[in-house]
Amino acid sequence: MKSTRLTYSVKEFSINPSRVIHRALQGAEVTISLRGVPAVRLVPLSGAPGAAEEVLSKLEALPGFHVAQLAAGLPMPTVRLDGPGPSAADMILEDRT
Amino acid sequence: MSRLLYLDSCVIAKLFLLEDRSGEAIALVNDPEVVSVLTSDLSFVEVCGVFSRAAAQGRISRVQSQAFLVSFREWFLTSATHIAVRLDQVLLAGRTAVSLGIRGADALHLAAALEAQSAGAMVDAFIFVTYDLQLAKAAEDTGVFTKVLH
Repeated sequence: MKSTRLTYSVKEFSINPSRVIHRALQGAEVTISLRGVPAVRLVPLSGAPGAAEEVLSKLEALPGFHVAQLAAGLPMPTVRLDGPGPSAADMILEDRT
Repeated sequence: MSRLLYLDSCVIAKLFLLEDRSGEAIALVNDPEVVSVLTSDLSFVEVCGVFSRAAAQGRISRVQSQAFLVSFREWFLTSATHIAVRLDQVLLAGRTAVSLGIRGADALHLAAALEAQSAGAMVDAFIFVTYDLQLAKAAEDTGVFTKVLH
């Protein structure tokens, strides 16, 4: 799979280093340029914390995890809870006590 | 940035039983950056219990509760990453309940979330979502990035 190539200047990197590092962790080829010349490449280390998709693929290998991607939107029907009484969330919390 | 959400059953209930303040939960789940929602298998029973109670109170009809069960089951099995309740997880939950002084079901959700997080998500790529302040505090105390809905 071809990965995204991104180049940041040292100034751009220094403004938001966390964002740049996250992009590298998500699989982008990130290069930092110094005075317009590519100088440093960010490469994730083995075992570094990963992006959501990467974590999801790891979870698939664990026992008891039934992994699913979230389908767009919520299924119908949903139901409006009418009348007086506790909220749906409060009903669950009450059941736990 | 792509994200995984662990949903406490309180949040799931509000996705299906629309009421005041359901909007925030719906918006959170429909965020295009959310890749998957995770929850314990315990949530299925808890949410069905709420639906049963709402029907018993006459706040929804029996027909609606049957339709909900079909819809919710389909969503749970196909669109949610659901995590089986296993003995090792139950034992971890027991230790967590005692050490943090939280309820058993809360501890079971927290144990499932901790297990999922241990797969190595970046700190803000895995978010534990709940309406319960006590559970949120316990989650934060164990190092889980948490969002409390109000």
